[in-house]
Amino acid sequence: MTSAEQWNWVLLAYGFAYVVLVLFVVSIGVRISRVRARLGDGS
Amino acid sequence: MGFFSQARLITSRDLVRERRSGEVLWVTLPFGAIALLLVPMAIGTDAPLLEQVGTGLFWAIVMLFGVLISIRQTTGETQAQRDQLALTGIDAAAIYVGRATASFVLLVIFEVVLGLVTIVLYDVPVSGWWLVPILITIVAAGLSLLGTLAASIVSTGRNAAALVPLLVAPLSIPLLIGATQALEVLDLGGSSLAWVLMMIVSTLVLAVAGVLSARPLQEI
Amino acid sequence: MTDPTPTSTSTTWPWIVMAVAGLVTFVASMTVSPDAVQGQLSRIMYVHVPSAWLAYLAFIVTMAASAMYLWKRDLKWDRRAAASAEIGVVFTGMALGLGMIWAKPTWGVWWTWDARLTLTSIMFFIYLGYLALRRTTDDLDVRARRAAILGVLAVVQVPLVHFSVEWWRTLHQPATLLRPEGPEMATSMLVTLLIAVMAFTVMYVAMMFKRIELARLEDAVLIAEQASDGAVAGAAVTTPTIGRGTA
Repeated sequence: MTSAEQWNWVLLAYGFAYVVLVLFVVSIGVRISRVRARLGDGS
Repeated sequence: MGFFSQARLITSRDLVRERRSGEVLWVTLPFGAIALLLVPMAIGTDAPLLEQVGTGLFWAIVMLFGVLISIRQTTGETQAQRDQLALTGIDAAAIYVGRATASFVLLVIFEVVLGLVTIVLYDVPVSGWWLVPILITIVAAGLSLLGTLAASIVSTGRNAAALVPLLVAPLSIPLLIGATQALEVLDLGGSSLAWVLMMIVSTLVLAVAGVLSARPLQEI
Repeated sequence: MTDPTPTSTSTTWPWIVMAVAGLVTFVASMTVSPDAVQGQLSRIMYVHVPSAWLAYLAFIVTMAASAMYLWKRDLKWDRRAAASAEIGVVFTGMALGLGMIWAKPTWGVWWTWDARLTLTSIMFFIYLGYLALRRTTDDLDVRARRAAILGVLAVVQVPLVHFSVEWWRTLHQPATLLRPEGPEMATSMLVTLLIAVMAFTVMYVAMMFKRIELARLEDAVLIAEQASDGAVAGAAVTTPTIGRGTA
């Protein structure tokens, strides 16, 4: 396997990992702000 | 009333219910049998292949479908019925043991009948026959203890029918691997003692966990 | 029941820590020299191994927090258990996915039945079952108790699962079993791996802070909803009258 092909796999791996992490972290943030909004206007 | 007489009361109640409704005998068992029928249609009716997979497939079907026996009672129960049973003053642990024993009896029947179906459809070899009743008993005990406990945990929660099998499946793996390996090791001329002991330990752990958590779960 | 304080101020340092940890891992794994045998593919290890480590750590935390809840009956332990479980599911999924992405070019298959991989996938399903169980009720105490008991049950039964799977795999090992890290790791690779593991651990802690904050807020909403004493069905419900009415 050439170095270029290997880099493709590395890219796939890091893309997958960081997309998952970012989505998860963002989801926590979004959920927090949504719930704060609900509590803010007296549920 | 002593602990074991309480448990026996619950067991007979459950078994009488089963005799009246016939759910295990006429629904769950045929379902398991059909599963055994479906697999050769999917993977091919090549006799040597089926002979190889037959035993393992039998145990897998027992694990996956056997849990339906343990949950049959609790999924049909309402919170009111549950409360009423608690109000009778029967020890929660006795209820657990009684329920698990009823499921154990039904599971043994389930395994024996499906075992016969497997022998017929898959033509599995007959080495180590003396071990099979032992394995059937241990698996039935472990699976009924685990299934009854899982059903108590989920209790009246939403999605109970689907959730209980999901909880049981991963935790039943020691029983599954133990049963299949115990027979396979005999084929290769070794001793199954280690596997059987592991299964027994697993079953004991489940029994203790079930009895200890019976009262906390009832208080919910 | 402890009163979660919804009016607590929102902290920002966890977000910064998470970003920095992610960046550090990325930079470290991209700048280290590639493995002699595996080439660039070895870089995948620097996210795969930390993910797997965190998956197991989060699992242990969930189980320990479950036991603490059963002991103290303080909902804060339930929130910690749940937060760790959700984070754990994400890292377990990542570990499995990254393992597969690494395995395909290295071994030619997406999956092998080696003990560690099998056990990690079993753990994934136990996590999912735990999270699904939490969705079966909105009653905070019921949910906490059920989840905690499942957590403790998993803690006692999972070692047996681990044991049986390991045993099973040692009997059925294929002729050549390649170890993911290679026969021996160069010092630079080891250092990079340690940096990545530490960074991910710090990331986990930061995630826990924020996820527990979310859990506290969500619990506050549930409490507020359940405490509302408005009429259940309002004026629509009247006393039944006997002898009157249609049909």
